[in-house]
Amino acid sequence: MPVSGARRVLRWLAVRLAGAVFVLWSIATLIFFALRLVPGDPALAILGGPGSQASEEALALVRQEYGLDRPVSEQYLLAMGRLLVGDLGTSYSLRQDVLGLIAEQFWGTLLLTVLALATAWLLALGLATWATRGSRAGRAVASALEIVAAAVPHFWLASVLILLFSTTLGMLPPVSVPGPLGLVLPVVTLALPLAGFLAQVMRESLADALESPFALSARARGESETGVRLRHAVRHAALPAISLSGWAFGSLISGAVVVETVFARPGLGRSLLKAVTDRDIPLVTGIALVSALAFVLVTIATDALDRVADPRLRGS
Amino acid sequence: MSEPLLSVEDLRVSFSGVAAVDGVSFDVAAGECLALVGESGSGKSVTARSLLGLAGSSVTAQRLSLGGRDLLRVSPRDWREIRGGEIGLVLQDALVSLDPLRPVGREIDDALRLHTTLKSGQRRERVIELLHAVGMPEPETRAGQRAGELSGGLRQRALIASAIAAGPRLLIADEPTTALDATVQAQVLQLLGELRSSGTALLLISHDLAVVREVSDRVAVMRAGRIVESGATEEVLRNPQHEYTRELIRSVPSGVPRGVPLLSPASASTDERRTAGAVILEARGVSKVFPRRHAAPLLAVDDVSLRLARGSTLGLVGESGSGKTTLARLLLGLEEPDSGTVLLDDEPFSDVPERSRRPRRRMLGAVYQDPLSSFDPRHSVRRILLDAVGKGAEADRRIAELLDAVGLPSAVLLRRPLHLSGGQRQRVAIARALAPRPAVIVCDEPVSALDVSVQAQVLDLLDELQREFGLAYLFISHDLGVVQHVSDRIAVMRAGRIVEEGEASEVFASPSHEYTRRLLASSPRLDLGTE
Amino acid sequence: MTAPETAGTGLRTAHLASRPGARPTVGEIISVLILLLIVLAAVAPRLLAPGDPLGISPADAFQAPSWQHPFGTDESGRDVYTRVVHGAGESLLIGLAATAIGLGLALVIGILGAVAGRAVDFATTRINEVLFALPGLLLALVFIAIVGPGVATTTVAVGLSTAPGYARIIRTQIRAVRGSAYIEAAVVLGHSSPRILGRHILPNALAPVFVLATLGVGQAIVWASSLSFLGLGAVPPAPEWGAMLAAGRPYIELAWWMTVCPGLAIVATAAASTALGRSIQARTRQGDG
Repeated sequence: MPVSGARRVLRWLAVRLAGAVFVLWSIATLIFFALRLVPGDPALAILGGPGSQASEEALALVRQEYGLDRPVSEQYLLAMGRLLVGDLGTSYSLRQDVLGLIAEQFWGTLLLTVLALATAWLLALGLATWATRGSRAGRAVASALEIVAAAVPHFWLASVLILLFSTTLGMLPPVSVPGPLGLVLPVVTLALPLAGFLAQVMRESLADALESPFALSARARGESETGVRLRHAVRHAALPAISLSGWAFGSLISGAVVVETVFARPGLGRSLLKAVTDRDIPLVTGIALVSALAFVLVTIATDALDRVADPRLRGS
Repeated sequence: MSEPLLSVEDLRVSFSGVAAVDGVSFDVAAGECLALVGESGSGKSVTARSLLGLAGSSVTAQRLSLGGRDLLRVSPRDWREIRGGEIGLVLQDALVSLDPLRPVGREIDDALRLHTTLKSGQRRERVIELLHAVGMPEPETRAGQRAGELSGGLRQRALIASAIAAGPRLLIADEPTTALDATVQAQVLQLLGELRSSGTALLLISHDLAVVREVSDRVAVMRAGRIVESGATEEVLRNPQHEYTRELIRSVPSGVPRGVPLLSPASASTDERRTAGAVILEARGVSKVFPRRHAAPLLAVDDVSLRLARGSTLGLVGESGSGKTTLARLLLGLEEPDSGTVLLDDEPFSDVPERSRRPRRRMLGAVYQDPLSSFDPRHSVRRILLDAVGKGAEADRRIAELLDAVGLPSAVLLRRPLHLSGGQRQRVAIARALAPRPAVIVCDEPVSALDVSVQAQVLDLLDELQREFGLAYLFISHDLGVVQHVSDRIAVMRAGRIVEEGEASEVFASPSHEYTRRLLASSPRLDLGTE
Repeated sequence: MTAPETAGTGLRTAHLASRPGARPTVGEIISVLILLLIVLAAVAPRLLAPGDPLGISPADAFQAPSWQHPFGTDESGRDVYTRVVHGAGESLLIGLAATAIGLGLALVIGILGAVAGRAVDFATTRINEVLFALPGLLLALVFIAIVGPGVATTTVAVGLSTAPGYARIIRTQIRAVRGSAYIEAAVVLGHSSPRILGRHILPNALAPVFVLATLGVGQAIVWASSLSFLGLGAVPPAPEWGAMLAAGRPYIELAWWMTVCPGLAIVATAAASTALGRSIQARTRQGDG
């Protein structure tokens, strides 16, 4: 059985990776054709849209680079071919290679999102455990906290945290300085709404697990309440939260756009916003593709983790 | 009689002011089995849980003691010592009563870790010994598997092993065999019997009088939180004193001849043999294969032929996974056979376009085990019946007729099935099946989810309707007693094949196939021989 | 954020019969009151704040909250409270429109996928997967980059990014309902496919999705205001909540109320709609018995 088991896993992985490639190709295709559907000169669209003051030379350069004088089918093949060799083009607003730009900023954003995800997980687990243990009033308070936390927009939370910890208390820097201290506020800003959300999910499944027959069996075996939680309920509560982590990571990527902007922290998110504002299509496309790739890979990872944590999924 | 191990006197449990257990007293001695019998809501499970201190807060009693120890004054820490150490609990359906994410060996190991001083290596050996003791084949492999990977019988054994791991003096078994097939149930009951012989006291909670009779020394009949009658099992069953006990016993269909109503002995006019009419529904060599991922295709129905005559009942028995339900779906035209033909009124009903099948569907009705899930949750009873009757001037009159036929008051029309009792829901389902004036009704485990007294009512109703409207029933059940009571002919199904088919009385009297014999031998029956 | 909201709540085919006579909880009352207040502000802002949201009065700039100006004044001396009240209309409209766009698109994709056979299902599922790979604001940002900023674009962009979540839920819902016993019962009764689809499948599958959408309006408001805050949607001095926050940002140390007060309006709206949506879900789910 182990041989066929390993083969099954490999096949599963291959299918998922092929899916990821398909997704990236589709996004690139979608953007390609969307740009050509927008009325006006595609060269102008690539260089900042109707409002931009692109020079004639720059436009001519783009037309040549993208083969805009050739038929659309040829342009498309050209674009996909370049993508295939990892050439994401040149950012016109920053006059830099897009891939290089992304490589420079990728790690900062990754660090931010991963830290935020971990923080959110810990906060949610704490809140969920506390809420199911507490009294009826405690549960109501916890549930209100979760809902409000999940509803808070990142940009407002960032402002309020700056107001509180920088302006009033002077404890933390208002902008993201290098070093761990500068990470605290951005990470907390990103993590809190997510934690509120994850806590709702965890609390529900934790409560379900604690009322299930197997929990009764465990209690009847002489297990303490703490034992029931640690040995049984926590795993059941974690399952849906693990499945959601892929989605959560995605929401953190888009949250990073806001948080990096408010805290003036260099990263993919801030670059994306600048690129969108400047309508720098090569850079927007590049960042979108890289984020999508990261998101898809994380989704595959959480699905794999799901299968590890829940043996019931492996059979199907 | 020696000093009882467990002694309960005037136990009362209430939930937010409503009494669930209302003054219950009983004793259990070492090596003895006491059965608490009752229908759902009688308070038997709550009684069991309160013995473990797991019934919630408001538990009072004059006396609640185990081996002389007062269970009313026990600290939480001591309770944990008693649970598993002194009293073990086995619940229904180990699929959900064992943690589905953990190997069963770990669950058994937990009990040892909590109640013994064994080192982890010793515990591992002990787990294997325990699994061996409960009759688990290949215990080393099984210990590493999860409940979902084991068959129903094996996982129930694992659950029992985890309950007896620390050697409790009292074992409480709450419907321990309810989710199991007859042959597996017999094995688990035997295991419980062995435990009792070795000196463990057994408190069996069950709704099934036949099971109770097989295992218990004494029985206490519970109803609405009280014990209405108790005594030696044989004595209570043969000579019931309380009206409720009598009703319970009367409700058990096994041994009651075909056509004799269970609940109204007044009209015990033994029915003349129903004239079996022409064949209305027929299967000719039908097979159905389901492809499976990572496994060989499943041959769910394998070359099955059967014929159902107008106005008669064909009982279809078999254990879970034998293909009964797939066969029913083939007959109902919900699934196309891979080979063979289904004929309805001598015309092909399988492999025809749905368009031509649709008008003929009115000849076929269906009643399911779980009526609630078969009703659109957004619809009231009226809407459900209207949907079946079809709109028209006559609709309301027809709905009234149907309600009358199944014995429901018109007040239920405005309610949703969710707010009806189990018996009422099944009556609505029957009314819906009757609406298009069918010739055949396929009943798939129609009474399995019902309490025994409600089951008797529904069985009586089905019989009445059959006579009134000349209906033919294909009656699918795992319960031999029920099938014997309702069927003219019987087909026994196993692994997709019909291994035996014949007149009901003959199959029960002299089964020809070895499997039928085994099935008959292993299913506990309540033939009290009073008739 | 549509996808996860269902994941946690175990969106099942609810028996819509709610607990008979169940009294509303404190949380539900508060949520309803907040939403009523916001709807009132959107429909008849003058009733709550008779002043002019755009009326400049430089002499009154940066006044802290007081009885006269409960939320203080901004850099041009405009009353922040008046602006928050008058902003409700635009914010709510954007939220509703975005949800309608997202839901409409999702209905097409989801129903087509579930009803029109295997090939269409495969295609719509793939389309959805692709849209899903640009989570949250990313899809909206790409859309804005191509089409250009503005209120209309933002609204469409937010709608677009909520669509894949709804579509996925609709598809699973329809498939779950289609596999249920009561659909089989309808087939046995000889009802036609269109009748079963229209009478049983769609009402049961879509009812919980619409509940979810009420919950999604709050989230759409948050997203749209995020985009305004980033300078891609409504532009100051329009009294849109996100834009107001953006305008207040440079003065955060001087006038915290310019940031805090409009933000509270957003949080209250989103939290109230989430709370209400969840309690509707809980109430309908209790009916499952």
